[in-house]
Amino acid sequence: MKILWALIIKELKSYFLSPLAYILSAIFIFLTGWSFYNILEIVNSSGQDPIETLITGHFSNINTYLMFMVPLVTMRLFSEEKKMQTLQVLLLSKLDHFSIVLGKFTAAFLVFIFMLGISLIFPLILWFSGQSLGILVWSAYLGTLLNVACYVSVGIFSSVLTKNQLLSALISFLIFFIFYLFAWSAYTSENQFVANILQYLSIGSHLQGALSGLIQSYDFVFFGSFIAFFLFATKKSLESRFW
Amino acid sequence: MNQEIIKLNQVAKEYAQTLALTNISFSVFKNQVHGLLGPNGAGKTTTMNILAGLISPTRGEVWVDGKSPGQAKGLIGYLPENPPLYLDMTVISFLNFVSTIYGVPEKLKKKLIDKAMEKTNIADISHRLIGNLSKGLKQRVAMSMTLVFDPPILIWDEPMVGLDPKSLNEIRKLIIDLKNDHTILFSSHNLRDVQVLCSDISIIQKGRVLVSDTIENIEQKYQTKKVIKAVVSNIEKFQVDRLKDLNYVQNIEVSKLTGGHQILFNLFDKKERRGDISQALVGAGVELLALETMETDLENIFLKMTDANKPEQARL
Repeated sequence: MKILWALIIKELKSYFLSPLAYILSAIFIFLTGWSFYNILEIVNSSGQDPIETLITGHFSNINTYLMFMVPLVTMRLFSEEKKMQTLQVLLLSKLDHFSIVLGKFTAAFLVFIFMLGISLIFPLILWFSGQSLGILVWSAYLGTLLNVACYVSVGIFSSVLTKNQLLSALISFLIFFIFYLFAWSAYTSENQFVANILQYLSIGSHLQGALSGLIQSYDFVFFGSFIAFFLFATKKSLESRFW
Repeated sequence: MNQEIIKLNQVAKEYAQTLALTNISFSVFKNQVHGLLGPNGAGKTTTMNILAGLISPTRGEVWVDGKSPGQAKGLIGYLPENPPLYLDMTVISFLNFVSTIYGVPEKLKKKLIDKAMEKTNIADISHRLIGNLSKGLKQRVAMSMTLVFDPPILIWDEPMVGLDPKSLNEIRKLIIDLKNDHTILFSSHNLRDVQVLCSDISIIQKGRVLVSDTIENIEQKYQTKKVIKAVVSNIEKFQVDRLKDLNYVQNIEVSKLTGGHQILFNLFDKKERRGDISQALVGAGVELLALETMETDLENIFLKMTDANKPEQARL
């Protein structure tokens, strides 16, 4: 555990001693602030349930921004190690393959927890202005965290495939696109069984439940399986040098 | 009898239908410095990667201190050809990180890091960013990395490539210092280094071991002729002709030096002839300033064995 923690700390230092984490955080907070204000304006001028519309819209935007930001953070995780040939330092240490994957995953996930922590300012603004937020905000945060963990697991997998960071980010975007394609295909499928499967495989449909405060047990199963699958695939890719 | 600490037996490695190693068999003995020689692409790095446990062999047996390389993690300090360093870390934070993930107990950590930095002479740059260091200093940090967990075996791939003469000298001294406590296997293109530092060598080419033995045995086995060098004050053509008539001399090469001449006597055999040559020179009326047997030329043996145009040499 101590060894794993040393890897997580090293990765976090690497993020926070470089400008990348701060630049991305600044962009993230600017975009979320800007979209929060706009949604607030729209909600005020319409007759909809203000809080539910505001929270759902706000967190939908947050998840879209994160879909573009996660690959920019995760693209270096293994690609850079491979390019600089530093992966050997980790591979020859007491860390097993899964610990290396888990350490890097945890560090990247903590970076996004930091970003989402900053975004708490918006619900706090509503709370200070006397709005009752209820369970909806916490459900949306939980869904967003699970969604980000999925993005990070895809990002880490893409990163282990190539030495080229840009290519790694592009592979992540492609995988996200494929999973969103499932949702669109589900709407157009005439076969209900196929449509249900496609709907279940889509990240968006599970996220939508959480953003509406209706997160179900099967959503947890989906997010957990999704993350486990990509972390396992990353581990297998690391082991492929023995094949 | 020396204890075998590394043993490779008929090891082969295949990459996508390309045979990187065909047949590698050699042993490294405890507390010896073993040199791995071979031209570029001979399979030295692949062999070292297998020993370190980074890749597995397609066929053959590999033992490191009686264990498979995967089980021998922590016994080997492996330095790849390109130093694996995190450029955004300081030297001390990097060594701390390495010692933690290699499982060094907390109470020993500082002592071992200080010792490694002292041996590699980097204590004064411990708080500098690795990315800002020169190539020579980075190499020393990487060497320090292989020492911080005090492994009994060091495997260093081309540790002296691209270093300035001062750094080279320091690293030679370091290897000599380390061989008391460690078994060292290193690859090099510099045959002089190998000759000075190693007790045993293995010459590999095209993925197979051509020879593996002590340098002394190899020299005795493959040296076919002896060369004696004489330095004289002056020599005339008739004196050279007289020396050429000596029945044990195959040919003579004369070259001018500052304040004298150098004569190389290429002999027909390996017999000791310094006394005879000394008498012949004096008899020819040449003033002799110095006389010595040329050191056995490992380079010639290496070139002869690895000459791609003479494939029959590979069976030596």
